[in-house]
Amino acid sequence: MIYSKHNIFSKIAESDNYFIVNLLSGSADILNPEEGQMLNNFLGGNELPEDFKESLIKQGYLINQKEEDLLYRQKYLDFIDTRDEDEVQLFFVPNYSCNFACTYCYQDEYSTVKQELTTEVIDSFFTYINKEFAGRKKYLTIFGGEPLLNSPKQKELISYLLNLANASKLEVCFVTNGYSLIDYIDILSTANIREIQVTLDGKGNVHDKRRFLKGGGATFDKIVNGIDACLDNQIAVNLRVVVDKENINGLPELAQFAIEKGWTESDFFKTQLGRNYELHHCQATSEKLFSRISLYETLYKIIKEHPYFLEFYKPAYSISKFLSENENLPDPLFDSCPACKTEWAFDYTGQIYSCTATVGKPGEALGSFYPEVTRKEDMINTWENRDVTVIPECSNCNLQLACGGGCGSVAKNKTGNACTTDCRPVKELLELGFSAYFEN
Amino acid sequence: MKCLVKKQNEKEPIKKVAQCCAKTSKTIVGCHD
Repeated sequence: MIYSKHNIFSKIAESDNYFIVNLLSGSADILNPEEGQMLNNFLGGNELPEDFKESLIKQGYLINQKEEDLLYRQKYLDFIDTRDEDEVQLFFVPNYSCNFACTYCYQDEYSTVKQELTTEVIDSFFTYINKEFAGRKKYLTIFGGEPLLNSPKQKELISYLLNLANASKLEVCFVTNGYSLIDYIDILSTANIREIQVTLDGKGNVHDKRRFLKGGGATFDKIVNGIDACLDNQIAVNLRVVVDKENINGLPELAQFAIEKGWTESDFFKTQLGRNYELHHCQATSEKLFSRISLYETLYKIIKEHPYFLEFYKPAYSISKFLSENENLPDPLFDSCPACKTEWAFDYTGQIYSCTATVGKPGEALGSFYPEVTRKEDMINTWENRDVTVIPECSNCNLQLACGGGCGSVAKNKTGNACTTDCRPVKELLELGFSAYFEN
Repeated sequence: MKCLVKKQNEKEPIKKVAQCCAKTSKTIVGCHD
């Protein structure tokens, strides 16, 4: 019997207890201080008491090497099978232009292509996806730039696109800054909208200082009216907050605002927190950015101080939230990068990309769907094959089945190769998560 | 040891999803960060 290479063992934050999790065996346990010490001693070379050893074997924390190798292969095949049947998210970018000048935009260095979206390009897009993804479950997400620009021409094109989505029986999501949502409610009501992602970075001025119109101008009030209009029309809103050290202290106030508006009571409302980070290029004030773990440490403190914040947003802390809500672990995550597997992106110039991180980035196009269909098979294969089994750094990492190797685009930006790691601080997140959700 | 995972016969069917890619909560990000 060996100590499983997939055990994640550590002390729970602000507690004397420990946790041990194994995504391969599907076990998760809290150890009291004595048990935690015994396991620490064992890892230091000492023997385990027999009854404790039996418990660890029963839970799969101590396992026969051959059994573990077999289980790993079985679970990997299950993962591939499940993913092959999973829904594909197809992004379409009608334009990279935007009416906002957000302080942290990662697309601000994209060069503008002097070409406009036409109905011919939209026709070609639907022809391509209906052929290429025939027989697969799929849905569309309209992305940008800002897709819901308030001009007659843009409204005409979005209406045309939604008509074709309806004809293909596809649900549609939008990622929008929300400024012109009200002006699009009638058009959106004609489609099968799964959800609209809108971003508010805080209440009032906190938001307006970060997400303002090009040339200046507040946007908060109009976006709030747009969210209200969506919820009134039973159009689901996924509210995103992009967070860094400049606006983190405004989160409780935004949560209180959402609660008082009645948004958090709505079945059509949910939230997500996004970390402001450097995706493609450095930001001028990088000292204001959180690392992954420091953001969650700060959220942990905010929730201790403002427990109502959980009504607005409940942090995942890796698999901690899933475990607390389901009394079960998620399946092992052999790959957290959906690019060219369950996600593809397309833009108005007819180019094909792997995902939202790469769409529009020079050098990242994988082919075209317009004016003719082309595919760069070598590049596509690299993205399709990326998972923890082909990333050398993942092979001996005990966190691999919770981390999944992270984002391929971030990894490629760092090393030039997508099949490298973008590590997630899984152990540290679990230390916080077990404290937040399992310790009273 | 306090087990946090229900035994198989106690489990109700749940939708198993990769934790960072729950489709209903993913519109754009979630994968980059």
